[in-house]
Amino acid sequence: MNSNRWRRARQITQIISTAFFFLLAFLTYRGFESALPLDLYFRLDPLAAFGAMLAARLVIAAMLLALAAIAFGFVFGRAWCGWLCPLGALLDWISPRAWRVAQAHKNWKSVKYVLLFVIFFAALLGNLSLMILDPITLLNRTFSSAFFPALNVVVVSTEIALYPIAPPLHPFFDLIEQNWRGTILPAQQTFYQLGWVLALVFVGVVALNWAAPRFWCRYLCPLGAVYALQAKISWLRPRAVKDCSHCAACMRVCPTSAIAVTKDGFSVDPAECVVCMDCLPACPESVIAFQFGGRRSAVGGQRSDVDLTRRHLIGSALASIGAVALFRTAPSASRDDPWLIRPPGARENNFLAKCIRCAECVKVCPTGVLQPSLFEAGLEGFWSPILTTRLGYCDYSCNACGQVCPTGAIPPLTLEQKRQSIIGTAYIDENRCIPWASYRPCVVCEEMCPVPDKAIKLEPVDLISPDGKKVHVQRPRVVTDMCIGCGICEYKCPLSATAAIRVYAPMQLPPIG
Amino acid sequence: MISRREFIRRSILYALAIASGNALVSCSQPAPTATPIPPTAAPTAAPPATVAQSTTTRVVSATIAPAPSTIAQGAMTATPSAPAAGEPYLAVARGARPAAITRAVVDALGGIKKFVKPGNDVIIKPNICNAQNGPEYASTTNPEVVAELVKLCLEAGAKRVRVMDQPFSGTANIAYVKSGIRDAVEKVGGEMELMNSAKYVAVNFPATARDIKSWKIYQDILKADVVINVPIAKHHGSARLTLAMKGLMGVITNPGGIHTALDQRIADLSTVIKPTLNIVDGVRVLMNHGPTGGNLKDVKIANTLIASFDPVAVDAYAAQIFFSKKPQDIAYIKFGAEMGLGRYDFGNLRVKEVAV
Repeated sequence: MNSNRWRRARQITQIISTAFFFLLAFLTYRGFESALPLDLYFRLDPLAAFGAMLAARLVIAAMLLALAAIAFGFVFGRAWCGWLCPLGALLDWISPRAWRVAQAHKNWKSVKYVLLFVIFFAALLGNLSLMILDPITLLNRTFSSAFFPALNVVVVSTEIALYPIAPPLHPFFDLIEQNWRGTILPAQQTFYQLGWVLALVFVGVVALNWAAPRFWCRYLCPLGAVYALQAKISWLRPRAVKDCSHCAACMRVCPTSAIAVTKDGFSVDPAECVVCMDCLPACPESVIAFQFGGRRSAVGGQRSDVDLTRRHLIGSALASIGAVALFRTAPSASRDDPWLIRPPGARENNFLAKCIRCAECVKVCPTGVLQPSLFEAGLEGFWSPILTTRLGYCDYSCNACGQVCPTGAIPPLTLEQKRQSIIGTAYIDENRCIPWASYRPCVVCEEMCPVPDKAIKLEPVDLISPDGKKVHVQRPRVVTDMCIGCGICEYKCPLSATAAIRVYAPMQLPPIG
Repeated sequence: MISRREFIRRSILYALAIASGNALVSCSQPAPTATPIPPTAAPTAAPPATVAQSTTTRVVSATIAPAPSTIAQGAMTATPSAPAAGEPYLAVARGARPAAITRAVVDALGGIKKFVKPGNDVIIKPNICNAQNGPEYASTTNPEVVAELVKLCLEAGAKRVRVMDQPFSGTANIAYVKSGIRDAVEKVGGEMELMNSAKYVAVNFPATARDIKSWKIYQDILKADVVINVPIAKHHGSARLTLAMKGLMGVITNPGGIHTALDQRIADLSTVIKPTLNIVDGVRVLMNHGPTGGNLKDVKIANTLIASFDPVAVDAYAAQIFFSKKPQDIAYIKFGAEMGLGRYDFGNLRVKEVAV
């Protein structure tokens, strides 16, 4: 293969990999019934996989696929970043047209390692807060809770606008609604409290490209740091096979400033090289080659911009210890926030030590009740999934979140187990509930309660209304022992604003006797 | 070739044109009148002899349902597609095979050809209220009944038979499968339609409606040649029972908003949505903990279907025979009769009972 073909192969692989990532992301709406491995990219993510295993002190069988990625890293260095990473591909594509030669901010390059070390030490202490910086979780979370819901708004609004005025388009709309609804479009519009924030973070990551191409990859990405460490000893290495005229054409096209051409000649840092192979066709003298054989075969022009020191390690360890200790002084470490309603089975499952914040559960949830959290689980649990029961409900017929969770943080409960799983407890606000406070009948919460024997009971009462009329109402009461906290009562409560029945974290009464 | 700038400029212009066109249309569109489904054509006098082996016809004794004196005489004449002389007003079929009693109950009313003409666009609206339970739990309409109706309509020459409902919990995709209805319907050549949020249109209600002034309704239900409403008979905490009239909440937007004056608004829906045929599925009846169900001990096997073009009549009859309740005690049935949407003075009506 000539040099240009390698580059073309890399570009095609990037397109296929990114397309496959988004295909899996879209198909997640169908839930776990898909034959494809919906969580493939998480299972191939060594940072998420071994981070979660370390934090939970548990071998997670499904995530052992990441061993293949580790092996890949030892052979090909950072080729993941250049060839397969969907975020890397997006950053390649969404870029200023004319890249200027970026300053090689040598010191910044160490940031990603420090982040990786902090994540590592925090995981040793059972904390995964910074997993929000994993590129795969970042991408998935942004699309599941910001861009895909916004895309659905566009689709539905377009249909509503054009349906009455464009009958020729009806077959096309039918095609979308009958075939895509619930498979690649969400079954219904979902709403997210942090959609804008997530979108801005993503836009920020992309915008950094204007400061330097692949800014995120070269300076910040902790997953990139994993591969960078491996690239220091990887088998495949870039090198100059002979001396050249030092024209610096390669340096100008290198997206990560891995190549430097100075008066001392050509040098390349394998830890920064994403094996994109743009330099091969750029070189007029064809002196650059990627060759197998490890360090010994590639002595010519090798460089290491970041020499990791004991100081980096100790600093990261101290930072982790300090941060995790501070997390454990937060109110959330003392007792649960009342609104901390976790997905079914998660609460009892050492959840925060297993959750990699990937938002697969958020995406698969058909009602949109699952959301990346704000501070309900403290800063430590930022962007971990919680149920916001005014925005959706945990459907009695659904156990999809546990089926798609790549790490088992949400256990893969059967539907029967999930129906028994207590995720919260509903309470009625008698000061606002319509039959309690307004002399008018309403039983929506009881009607919706999916528990076979109804966890909400109705008490018939005859009242005299303020204007002297006899009224008969049925007052709802929650039978706490029967309530599973699914939240459909709160979601469907017809009161405007806050519901008169609300789901709180599960009530845990001490045992009697 | 046009330049990028030109392309963007034109795109914005087109978008603006479409948007303003849409705005104009929505402003100038005459408020949709509450046109009921056109009454079905003249009965084709199908002889009752074709129905079943043990056909018995009788006038139900007045002890079951004394007609309340509150029903205005004039209102009664307003009932939809009143049968020709000698035709039964309401039919009841009993038997262990759901498909057989479906055919029998339709035949007893004069046969499917009376309702469905060749080339008709037919919508069958079962109750698929949630995605939780299979048909054995009696929270969703019996799939065999629905499939048999699809078959009947296709036999009568219907161009297209669609089946749809909007569940109040879970997704329609999953509910269609879980209820067993998708499988049964597609096997006999019907289509399951996922209800498209773009298809709801605001409808102004006629003066007969006492509470609802305007509500959004699925336009295909209003446009189809034939709509067959096939609810399952269930207990309900607030309305007490959910039957044919209440089932229409599945074809409107924001059914939760109906609840503030539930009984009156259920009756109001029937002023606009007038199915050609209402068939209450009482193969299995949910006696308690409805409308969601989930407990087999709440399910009663009744092996009965009740059919009429009059939604008030089927609901009233079902209330009596399945739940031993007086029609006038179910508020929306009472309101429906008061408003002239139907009747339950069974003493004056011809009720035909068949057993298969």
